[in-house]
Amino acid sequence: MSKLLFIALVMMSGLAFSRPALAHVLVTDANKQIGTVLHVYPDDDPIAGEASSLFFYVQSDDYKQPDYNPQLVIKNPDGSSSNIGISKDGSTISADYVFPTTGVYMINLYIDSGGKQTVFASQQRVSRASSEATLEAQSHSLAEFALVLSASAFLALIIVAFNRRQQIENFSRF
Amino acid sequence: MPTKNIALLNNSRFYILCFSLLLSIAVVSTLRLEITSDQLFLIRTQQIYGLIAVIFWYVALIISPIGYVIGKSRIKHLEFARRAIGVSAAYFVLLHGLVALQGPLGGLEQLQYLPTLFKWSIGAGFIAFIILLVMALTSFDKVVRFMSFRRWKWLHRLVYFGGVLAVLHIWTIGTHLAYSWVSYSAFLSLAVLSFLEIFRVMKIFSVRSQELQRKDFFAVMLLSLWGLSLVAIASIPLLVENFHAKHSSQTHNHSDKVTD
Repeated sequence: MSKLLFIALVMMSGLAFSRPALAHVLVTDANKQIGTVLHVYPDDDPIAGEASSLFFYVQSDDYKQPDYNPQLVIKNPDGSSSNIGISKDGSTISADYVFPTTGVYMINLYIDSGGKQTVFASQQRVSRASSEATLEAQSHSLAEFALVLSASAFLALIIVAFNRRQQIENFSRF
Repeated sequence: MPTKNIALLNNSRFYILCFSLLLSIAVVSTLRLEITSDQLFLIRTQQIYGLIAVIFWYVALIISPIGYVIGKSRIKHLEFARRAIGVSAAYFVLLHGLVALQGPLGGLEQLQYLPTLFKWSIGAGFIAFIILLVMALTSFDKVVRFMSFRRWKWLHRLVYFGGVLAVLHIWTIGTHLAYSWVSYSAFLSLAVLSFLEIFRVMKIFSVRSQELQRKDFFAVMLLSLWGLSLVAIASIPLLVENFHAKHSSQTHNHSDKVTD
């Protein structure tokens, strides 16, 4: 059993030391013709008042040529819009932006190519802030119940396993 | 069936499977309580399930070669538990895939809109999952008896092919590899696994080969093959495109400014 506990400890430490990272959110254009994968640094969880980077990895081969014109507009929670300076490298478009406050932002990427415009719209919630209070967490009673239930069941499992450790040692081997 | 129930409670595999189930519930509940944004909650859930799946898979893979190094009798309990660890890996891969599909990717029909690299990577991950699922479904004693141990063993060697596909999946679009310490840890883990696997294979062959029974020849062969495997692992970044490496460098190089 001590070996099993060791494995469990290794796994728990793996979780404890894992940092939040970058992920892929697929955004399709309004006409459902093209997709783009959006990344937001840092960790898909920007901090209000601190610099963030946005990356769009556009699906279409059309955008591997340099003759397209992208434009990024971010609509702030107060209703105002900001036109953001962007960079492009092949079909990858990137931009830096400081989300001023916590709240829900609309990120709109417009791409003009060959006389037609493609629009990608995505919502970004900024819940962390460097200097002010973060957005209040919502209540999730089901999650609370599930957490308490799983913790209790885990405790019960440990007690049963500990009480039967001798039988387990005898039974669980080739 | 009281005897059967008692047998179940004496089986370490039962505890590992219960632990996996409870861990999956605890992870999703904790993240739901901690993270306000629904989108971020799904991203983190998918990432952590993927990480746990990798850890289970790695442990399942490394148990057998460790037995050849330190002696099978010393890890007989772990060898017994190995099947449940493999099933747990399959379970977490399934959860990882389902959450990714319904969360950040937005559904099965959305896959067509992904860039080519992502399609290839998800395809590799899906094949790895199918292999792991077949392993899990054939992990019961009755199935082993039905198939015969020899055939079952051959089927389960597919797990190494699945492992290679999983490594490629993680490398191409894996999220944590953007951090250098994660890349180094992954390299170290693969280096240890490859050393132990080469040692195991050579031990098996040394039964038939007089040359390999010589200690010096065995050591030279082992180190040479391990060196080759390290070169192969280290060349993955050169041979296979990685999404994060591409745009991480772009973070520091906004050379082609379009608007201000």
